[in-house]
Amino acid sequence: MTFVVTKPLAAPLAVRNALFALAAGWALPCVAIPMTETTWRLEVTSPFGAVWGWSLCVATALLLLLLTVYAVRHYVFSLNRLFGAQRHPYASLVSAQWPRVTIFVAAHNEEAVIADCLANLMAVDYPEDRMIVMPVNDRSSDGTREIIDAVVKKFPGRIQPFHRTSGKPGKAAALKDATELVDTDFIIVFDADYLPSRGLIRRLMAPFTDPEVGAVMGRVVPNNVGANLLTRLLDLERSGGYQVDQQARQNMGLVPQYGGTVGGIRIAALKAVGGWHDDVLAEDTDLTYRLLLGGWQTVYHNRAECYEEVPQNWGVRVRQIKRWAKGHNQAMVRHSLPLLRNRDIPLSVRIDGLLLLGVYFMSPLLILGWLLSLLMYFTVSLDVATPALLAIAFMGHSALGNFAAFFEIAAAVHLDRSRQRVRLIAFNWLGFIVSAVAIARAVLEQALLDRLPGRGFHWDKTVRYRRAPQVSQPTGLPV
Amino acid sequence: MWALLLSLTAVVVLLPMLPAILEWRFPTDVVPLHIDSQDALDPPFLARSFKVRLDEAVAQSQPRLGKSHIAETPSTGAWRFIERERRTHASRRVWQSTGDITLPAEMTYLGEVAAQGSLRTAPNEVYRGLWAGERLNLANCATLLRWAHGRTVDVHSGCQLAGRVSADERITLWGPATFLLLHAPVVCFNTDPARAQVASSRPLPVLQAGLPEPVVWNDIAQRGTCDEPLEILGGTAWQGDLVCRADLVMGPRCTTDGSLKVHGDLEADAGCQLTGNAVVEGRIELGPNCIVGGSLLSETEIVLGAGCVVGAPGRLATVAAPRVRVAPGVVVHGTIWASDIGRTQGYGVADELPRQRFIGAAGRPDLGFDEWAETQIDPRPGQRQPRQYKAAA
Repeated sequence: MTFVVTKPLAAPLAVRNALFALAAGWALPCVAIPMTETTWRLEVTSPFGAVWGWSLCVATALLLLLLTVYAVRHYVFSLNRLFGAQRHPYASLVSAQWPRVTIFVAAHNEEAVIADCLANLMAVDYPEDRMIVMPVNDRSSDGTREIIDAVVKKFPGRIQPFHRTSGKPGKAAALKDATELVDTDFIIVFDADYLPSRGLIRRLMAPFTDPEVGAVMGRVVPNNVGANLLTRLLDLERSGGYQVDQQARQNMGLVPQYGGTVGGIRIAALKAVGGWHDDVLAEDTDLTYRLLLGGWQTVYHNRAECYEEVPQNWGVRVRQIKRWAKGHNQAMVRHSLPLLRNRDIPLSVRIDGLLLLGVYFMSPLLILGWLLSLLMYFTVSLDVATPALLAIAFMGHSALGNFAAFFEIAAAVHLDRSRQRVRLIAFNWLGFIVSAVAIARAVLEQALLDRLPGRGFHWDKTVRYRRAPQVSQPTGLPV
Repeated sequence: MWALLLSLTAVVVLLPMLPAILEWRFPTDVVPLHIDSQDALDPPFLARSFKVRLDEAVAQSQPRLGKSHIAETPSTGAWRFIERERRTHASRRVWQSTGDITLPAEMTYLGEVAAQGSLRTAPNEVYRGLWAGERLNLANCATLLRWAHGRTVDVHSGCQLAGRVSADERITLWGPATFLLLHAPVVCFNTDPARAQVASSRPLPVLQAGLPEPVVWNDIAQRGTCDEPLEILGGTAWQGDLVCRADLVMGPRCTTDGSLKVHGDLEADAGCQLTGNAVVEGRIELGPNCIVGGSLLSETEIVLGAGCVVGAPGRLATVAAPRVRVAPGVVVHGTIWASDIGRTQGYGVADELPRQRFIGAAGRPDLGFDEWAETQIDPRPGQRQPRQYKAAA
């Protein structure tokens, strides 16, 4: 099949060829391009037919385009954090009439960690009479209940446990039931392995002085970073995700994401958008988009930092990321179209919202891109220039898209002023490959297997590694 | 040959991995990132930390606090400065006293000064950190570099407060000054706080109830929203939060029982009352005698008109913006935090702050003011001219 463009070319042939090769390297890497003085002739031939050849070309070009968009997005975020104006509008709120708040600690078989979390919450500097801690013990079968009750006795009047013994499984369902018991205007949610720092509650509550804010998200910092290579790589990923990605979206007025833990929610906003949905795997992403569509802001507060425990082995990490991927993609299916159609939301916010919804879909697309490149190499007829273009395409798949997030990691480590750990960034390809494969598997399972009778979404609880009670957190020396 | 080629290829491929492998096998940076849990939310943190460390050092008869020598101030008679201090007119020692102190003139204190009793500075001098168990009195044209704390703090005309100033009871600015962070149960600008309490308890007559048409009210969300510039007539009263996605102008004596979010600028005319907070992406300008129960946050500038009251006794609030301007008669219960610069206005001729003697174009210390040039005003007639100053390391 031949596509002839009759527009005459004015530039010298060598320059034209170079420019065209460059453009083709980004957009049409598979096209054989015999060039003459007067015409562009784009030839695609394949033993499987022209339709096969052109289909591969178009699919690869579209994938490269999409990956380029994500790459540009990552670079824009990184450059914004390094050189742009920073917005921390609520960080200066020191004195206030702090509102009453209920703090949920979501727990399902968390006997190893929940005591530390509750102990840290008892030491925060939020006014005691304005803070109720409610451990949401969701059908635990280990010693979680006894541990919670022991802490309740130790701090009388400050903890109101909610022991949930039946009902629909899952965090969203448990939070939905717990929210029915709340008489405060705000809630804050922690997972049981988190270690809230002394000033964290005040920092998370500060943005609620703004009546437009429906949810607040804080920054998650791995506490067990020194355990092994995986935890160190996850530490880098977390830095990139929060220090750069979330804060840049906050700076640019886009869509910071409520992450389901270390975050607060305004009850009026929650009610206005329909409360918790207990049929979703990622109640956090689901809520972020419902708030956005309902005219509420989600705010990221980079200085509301909290320690967490990250997975220490690859199997746990794979299960965790598969769960996140399924939940996120579920939200993508639910909210993409309503977001696209909502003209009350600025276009830039809608585009960022769509790109954010699609992040967990990029991994299977990336793998698909690699497969397409190989298929084209072996099945599409090539001239002399095309192998080079194919190589560029293959490298493009590897260097763009989510790989550009490595730049975010480097920027984040620089901003965190903890610069030695950035040397490990060369290993992040390992984590990236594992994530890409895990997410691709999750997408396939979600699209095919989970729809079979007797199957369905399955909640995988993240394994905890902490065993002994530990010190609340590393603290700095007084200045 | 093949072995050599493969080996060289492996070296080329693995070379970029070398730093990663070294850091993996021989870790140098494996502690969790530090989380600041106190400092930023506790303005007197620096002062209190210093006092604790000083008391420990004195109790243990240590000669130094950190790298600085500890010196005892004289109960009577002249201060015992060392030769270098006399020559340079600058002391880098930490001075402490169990009684009251009056700091001598012609001496810059680049170490902290602490008094169990009252502390009075000299005019036109520079201080790094000041602690007073009782009253702290910053004399005319004094400059503060890092922090000051007292039971009560009085700031006189021409002071430049480049650090945090906090008090257990009250801070009073008696004249024009620039500041960064002021924190106390009561911060007064040339006024008596009792007068402000009377003003804040005064009920206003309601002329018109409810908000004008462009505002769409949502009962579930308990707030009204408006997507276009909004001008509210004077005397209007309403309950609930209001989100305005453009500029908002409130006429005189408007009253709202709720909070405001404004994407543009907020302008409130004289006598407006707001029980909640105002969070504004643009500029906030409050006319005279406005009363705000909650906090004021702006991403650009806040201007408080004469007689405004923010917060209430026992209900602290924050006024925070990159730039803050405050007129006489203002009372703030809580914190005023100007991340770039805060300054007084409306003091007539005295608005013009004198240039500090040590601030030359080349030799001024880094006081943390981004807009320093804007604040520099020609010295008063007869004022001493600037002298070169070398900032402390």
